[in-house]
Amino acid sequence: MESRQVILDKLRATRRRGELRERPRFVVERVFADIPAADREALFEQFSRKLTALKGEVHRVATPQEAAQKIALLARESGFVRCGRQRTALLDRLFKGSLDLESLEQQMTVVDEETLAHTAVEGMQCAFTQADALISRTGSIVLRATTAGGRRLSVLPPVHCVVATSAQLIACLSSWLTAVHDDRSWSYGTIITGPSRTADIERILVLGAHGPKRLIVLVIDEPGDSH
Amino acid sequence: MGSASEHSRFIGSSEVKASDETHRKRLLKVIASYDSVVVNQKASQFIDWQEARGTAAEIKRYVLDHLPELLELFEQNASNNGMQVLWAKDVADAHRIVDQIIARHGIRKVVKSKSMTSEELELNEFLEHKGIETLESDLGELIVQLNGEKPYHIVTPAMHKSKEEISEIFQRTLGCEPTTDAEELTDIARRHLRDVYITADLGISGANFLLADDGAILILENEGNARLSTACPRVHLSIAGIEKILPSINDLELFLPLLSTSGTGQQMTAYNSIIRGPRQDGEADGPEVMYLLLLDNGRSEIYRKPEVRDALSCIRCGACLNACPVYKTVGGHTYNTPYSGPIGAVITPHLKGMRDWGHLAFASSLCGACTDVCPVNIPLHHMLLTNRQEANETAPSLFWQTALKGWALAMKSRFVVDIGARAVRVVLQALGCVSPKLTAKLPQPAARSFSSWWSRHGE
Repeated sequence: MESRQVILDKLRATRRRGELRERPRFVVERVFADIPAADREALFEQFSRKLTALKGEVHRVATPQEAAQKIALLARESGFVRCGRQRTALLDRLFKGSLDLESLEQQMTVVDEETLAHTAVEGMQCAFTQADALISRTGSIVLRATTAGGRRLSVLPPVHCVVATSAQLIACLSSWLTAVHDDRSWSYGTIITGPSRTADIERILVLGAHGPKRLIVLVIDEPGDSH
Repeated sequence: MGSASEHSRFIGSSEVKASDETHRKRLLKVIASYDSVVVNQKASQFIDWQEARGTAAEIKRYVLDHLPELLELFEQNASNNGMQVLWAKDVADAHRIVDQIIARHGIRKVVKSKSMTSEELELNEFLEHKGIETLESDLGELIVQLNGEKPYHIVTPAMHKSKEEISEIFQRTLGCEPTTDAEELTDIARRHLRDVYITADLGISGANFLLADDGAILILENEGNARLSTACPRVHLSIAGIEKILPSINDLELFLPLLSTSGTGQQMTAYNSIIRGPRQDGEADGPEVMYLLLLDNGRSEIYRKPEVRDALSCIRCGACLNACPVYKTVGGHTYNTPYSGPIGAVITPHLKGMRDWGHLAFASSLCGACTDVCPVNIPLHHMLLTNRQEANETAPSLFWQTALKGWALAMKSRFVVDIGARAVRVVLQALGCVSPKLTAKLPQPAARSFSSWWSRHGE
């Protein structure tokens, strides 16, 4: 308490330039040269181009059934046995409604609001989560602990697969920032742009420094009635 | 001009580094690769980079003008989020607070993500001294920690190390097989730290921004180690300078790409974590307790001085280091302080004392390259001049003292000036006698000086 007062008093004793004034604001459209048009095709095109350039993997599918097939293929190719996922309506439909994914689902840790054991996440080869939105301008995925199964699920396993819908594509961060600011129920959010990376050794790019080596995004056009 | 010890250490180290060709070549190669991506990123992403940084500068100046109010607003919002906000006026104060946290929660093992404020506090040494195992998790930080070194650069701590050297460090300290493959070396660090995240009781991080209107902190990183360090341990402590405030969460739209463009040439850093506090009800995981330590440690001193106050706008992107011809020649370790390069030379003397650190202001050619690249328009080279002035007033060297006094004395006396002028003429004439070629192109000095002419014909 004492230090707080000492510091604040010292700052207050300093004369400021002029009067208290309005917070400066900026117009996104006047800052960035690469804001995509607001139609779905343009949004997807830029999102996919930006994220692919950063070695992220982007797949677009029409229906949840197609998404399930894609995931089954991915799991077979990568030899996934132990995976984890969130408990959400969309992911439930994807995993429970697919014969292709039956064997994967049987061994899957399903995460809900119960406390997630470290060991359960540590052994996972891949985590499936949803996200809040996809940001086209920068090829980013935004998520929060409350919407993506906590903090660890999307960072500890070596592969992170995000299931999203094309309706979630937005041009810029601003609308997401405003929306999540008003929601006081979450403690952690993150803006993810590509798989984990480092260039700490002679500026050579290496993927999968500490977080996921692969970031896969499945964009579903017609998620059906559950969404 | 600085204490003899730090000053002469700087000069000694500069001489060694400047003539170390391998060191210089490696540094220039790394910085050249940085330069090219930054130029492209500025051009492709921003309509006008100058406009963008002008806007960012304006927001940061607003923050400085309203700093006490914004800090209080941040504290209030952060507290509402469940974060425990603590204030430390100096290093001793911060150590005392960290000590209390360790005792209160029975901490035995700490995992750290990159934090320059913790370098200010020499926190690793402090914790090790207390018998607490402390591991850096950022790859570059881990490399320098294992080798018993300090970070070389605020963004790229192991910039000066070759793959061969890193391999040698890993073999010696982690007992792994030799390899000079960057991917394999990274994987060694990844495997080494996997268990650490899970067994550590306390995660310590820095913060890139503090959002006044939201009460959240921001951590930017590419590797994921900061996410893991703030997600897994049961306690999280973040240490941030009091100047890290941004007024609003909406400012992130500008500041995230601005920082990553200037810092690494990326459009966006891979992970931008927004942390509001400990785990909330309904969330699957996260720490039980989160502390945020607001660190002054000399910043309010800088705030007091109008000539250098704007240096508190700094967002620690490291661009001025990469642009500085002196940094590129003498290297990061020569500065012997957490903040090196131009920004380090500006703030260090005010954080740690002009008497010992004033010499840093002279480690500059005043070319202005630092000011040119600064994403928040800090007039760094002007501030270096201000520091030079203050350094000379604080602890002028005997040479300068004598020379300047002598100059003032001579300029006040007609007699001494005349002697000087005559001496020049005599020397020139003498040179002409020795070698006419040497003076052939020079105009002949007048037979008599203006002052002697004036004394006869004037008035």
